[in-house]
Amino acid sequence: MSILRPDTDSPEQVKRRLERTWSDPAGTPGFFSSVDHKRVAHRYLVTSFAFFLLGGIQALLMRTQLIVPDANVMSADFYNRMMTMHGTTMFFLFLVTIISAWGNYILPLAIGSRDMAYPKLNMFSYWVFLFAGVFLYSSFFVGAIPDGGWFAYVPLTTDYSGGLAMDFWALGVVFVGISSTVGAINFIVTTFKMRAPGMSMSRLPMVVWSTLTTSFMILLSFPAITLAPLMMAFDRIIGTHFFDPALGGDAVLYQHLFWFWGHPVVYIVFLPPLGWLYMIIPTFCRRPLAGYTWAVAGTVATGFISFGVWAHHMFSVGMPDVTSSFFSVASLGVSFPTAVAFFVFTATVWTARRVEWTASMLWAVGALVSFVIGGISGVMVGLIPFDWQVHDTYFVVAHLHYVLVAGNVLPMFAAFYYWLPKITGWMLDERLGKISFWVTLVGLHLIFFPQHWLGLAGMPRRIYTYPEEFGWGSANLTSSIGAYLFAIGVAISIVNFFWSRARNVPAGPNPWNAGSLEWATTSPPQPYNFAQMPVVRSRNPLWDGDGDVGGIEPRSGGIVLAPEEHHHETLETVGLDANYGSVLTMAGPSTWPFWTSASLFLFFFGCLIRNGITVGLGTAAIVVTLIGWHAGHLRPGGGH
Amino acid sequence: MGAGIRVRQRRVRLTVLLASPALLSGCSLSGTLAPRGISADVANGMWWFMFWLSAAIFAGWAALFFYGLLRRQRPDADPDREARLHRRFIIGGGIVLPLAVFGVLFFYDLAALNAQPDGDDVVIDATGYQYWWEFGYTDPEFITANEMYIPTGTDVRVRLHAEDVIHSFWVPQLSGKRDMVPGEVNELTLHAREPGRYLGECAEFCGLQHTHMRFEVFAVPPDEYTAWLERMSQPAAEPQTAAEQAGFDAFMGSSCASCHTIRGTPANGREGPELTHFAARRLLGAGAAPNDRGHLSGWVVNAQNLKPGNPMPPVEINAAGLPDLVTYLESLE
Repeated sequence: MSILRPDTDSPEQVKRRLERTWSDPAGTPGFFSSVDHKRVAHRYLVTSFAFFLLGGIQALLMRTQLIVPDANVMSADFYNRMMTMHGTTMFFLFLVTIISAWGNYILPLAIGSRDMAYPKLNMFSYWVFLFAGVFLYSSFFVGAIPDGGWFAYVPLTTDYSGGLAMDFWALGVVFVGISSTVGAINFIVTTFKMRAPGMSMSRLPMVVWSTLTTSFMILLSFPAITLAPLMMAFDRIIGTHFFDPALGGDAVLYQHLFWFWGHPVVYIVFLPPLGWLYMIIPTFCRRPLAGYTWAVAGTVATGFISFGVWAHHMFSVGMPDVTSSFFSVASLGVSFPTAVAFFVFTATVWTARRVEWTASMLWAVGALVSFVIGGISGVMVGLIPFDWQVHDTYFVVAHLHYVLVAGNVLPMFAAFYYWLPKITGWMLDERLGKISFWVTLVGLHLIFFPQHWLGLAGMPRRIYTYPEEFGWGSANLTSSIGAYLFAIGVAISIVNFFWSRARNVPAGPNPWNAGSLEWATTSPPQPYNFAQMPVVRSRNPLWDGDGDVGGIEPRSGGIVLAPEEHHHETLETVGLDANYGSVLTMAGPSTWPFWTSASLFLFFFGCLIRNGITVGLGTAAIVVTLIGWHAGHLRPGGGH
Repeated sequence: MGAGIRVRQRRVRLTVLLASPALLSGCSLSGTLAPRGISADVANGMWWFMFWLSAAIFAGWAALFFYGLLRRQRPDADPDREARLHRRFIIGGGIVLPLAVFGVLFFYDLAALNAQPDGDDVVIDATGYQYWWEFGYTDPEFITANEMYIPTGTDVRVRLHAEDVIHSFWVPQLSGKRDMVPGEVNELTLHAREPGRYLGECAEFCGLQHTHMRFEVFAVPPDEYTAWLERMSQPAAEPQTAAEQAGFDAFMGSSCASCHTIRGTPANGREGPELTHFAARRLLGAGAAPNDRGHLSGWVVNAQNLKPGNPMPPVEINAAGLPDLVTYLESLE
């Protein structure tokens, strides 16, 4: 372990050496070979947000078609394709990936590490996400946009769907699942092995707890969303009959597989945002989180219970009442930990030293209050005879959007206003942030609150128009106006980003005077994150610390890990208490993750066009690039 | 039978008790909020009970939360007192409150399941096709499409089938929905309290024209129902006028007859809806348009205009022949 001794290196020499060791190569080679978790996160954030905007545009198109009865803005066919791509984009390419984006940025910093446990795998998960997104969206250029709904129920999407449209969907979903899975493995290992010395599990920041729980859930649930589309692709491409009832297949099996992923994933995309709020709200209440242990228990319990509720999406499929009742009880049970979370927040704000109404705090409070509406309607649809009425109606559209927008999108903006100064080094404008918040919030409730009524009034989901005499006109008009308002609110934040960038008000290391480790280093952090590896003695190191947490300036006697050989070194800690373990040598820049991802693209493209040679070439390329990837380990200092 | 009546009474009491808040909410309700059947009554009662309960919980929590956020005086923190407050909030709000609420809701859930009608005094087969409905009656035996008659005050067991993809059978004012799954037979019991015409919809996305897969349920008093059965089981009316005869010939001589059935004529196709008493129907194309002469002419010439993507191809017929064909179809009372 290299300890800084006053008689050998000066702090400046150490920082220069770290700088040289951890910087990416310049220019294009650096772009393709970087494995820096912060660069991975930048790309994740930009790409994920771009997909959020694309999915949003699709939503606006749909709301425009539904603005008045019998509108003729688009054909039924185009509407169905937009509906399918809105759900597919938002779930697979935005909601699931935005949590990886923030996880990648915050997690290593918040636990005081220099990188993720598997840097190359980390970059690989991004490249796979990008290639899978491009794969799905290339359907737009060949006129085969998926049209079977984002849930793609069989047999509509197998025997009753020709062309390539649903092949794009099935293969694209399998493709993007690889990204989430490898990302989850990385988060788990990073959390268990790379925490700063002294950061026992009982001192783990909530954002890390929630990302850890979510990662286990991804590992357990994503196999189902790989299997279901894979079986669908087999039915479509190879001619198997997994889902063809005429030949002994079972259409309902698909739904069980889909929702075995589809319900845990709701919590997968909600728990990390809850973790962000667990960081943001205490910071602006100027006190540690109240009931930390309860918050942890609630987070982990949600992870477990969420695997027992999937069939509440299927109450009307014809299950026996006893089976339905089990899932009904479990659906009520999964609300307990959420109730705990909301009273953890209530207890925290009640004992706030001082409440600071920053833009980030506004977004966070708005998210909590709005989420309660979605949580309550979620309890309602857990009751079977009521669900029989509102299932597949706009009531459920309202419910799920309250949960996902208030549970993920609003917290995402809270996180932007909170952590962007860390990422960029400059402050976002507070006033524009608050205006953006109010416009977006009003938009959100205008869109979705009337939709509860629409569902009760009998409007089913996924219809492209409705006649005037049904009386659904004014609620739909309100909803569409809300959608435009929501878009304006989002646009104001985007304008804020560019305007604030031009203004360039420096943020400093800890603009919010927050307590967790990511604020112990410069904004933006150096490529090596911390010059002196942090050592932790409490839950909020920067608040209750004795001034020697580590971070920006290497001090005499601190751990610096700046070897002459320029290996990427970081600390490994062991056990739940994070005792000193050993010094890890990490992987440096590599282009192999890019090439493996490109090979996967070739493979999936071959499956799509049903061309054996292309599939073979893709497979060979995957093998070759994986050999190249791992050959590096044979060299000293090759790392993981 | 005795047990059935007891169950029915309990059901009604439950409904009256829980649906009463509905009286407070004005009269411009429709869909599930204007229930006319037992199952829909139960769901409506659940809704209003949960609505008021939720409103109270939301208001209570929000008041507590915002009071905590906005109150001015912040006394010096005594760690013990703070810890006590935290425990009270978290255990009270996170454990005790949900336990009480969910306990009540769970037993309500079971009671509501028990209160569902489940008799089979009348049995009807309903089959979903892309994008229309077929209804099969057993006594007397006949098939009709897109309009369903049921007797009021009777448990009507609907057996649900799907011929192609998954559909979902939903009559909001009478009952919750049940899916129609290919390869399986699901069942749903309707019990209409009062006569009326009720909208039926496909609630599961079933493809391009999922939107226009509607039907209508006519709940009529039992004697009217019997008369309707009698009328519907008759073969189609013979052509009476020269125009009707010309239209009949055109129908039988064209592709129409290979897809549609008109009982009592050579037309016996099974691809499209049965048309024996077509003129009695209110709507065309499973709810795509009203069944009047203008829309019908347009539908026959090219059904793709009114309902793009439905399986009926454009019919090749000369302009002179069209009015006769439509006249014949309009005679099929």
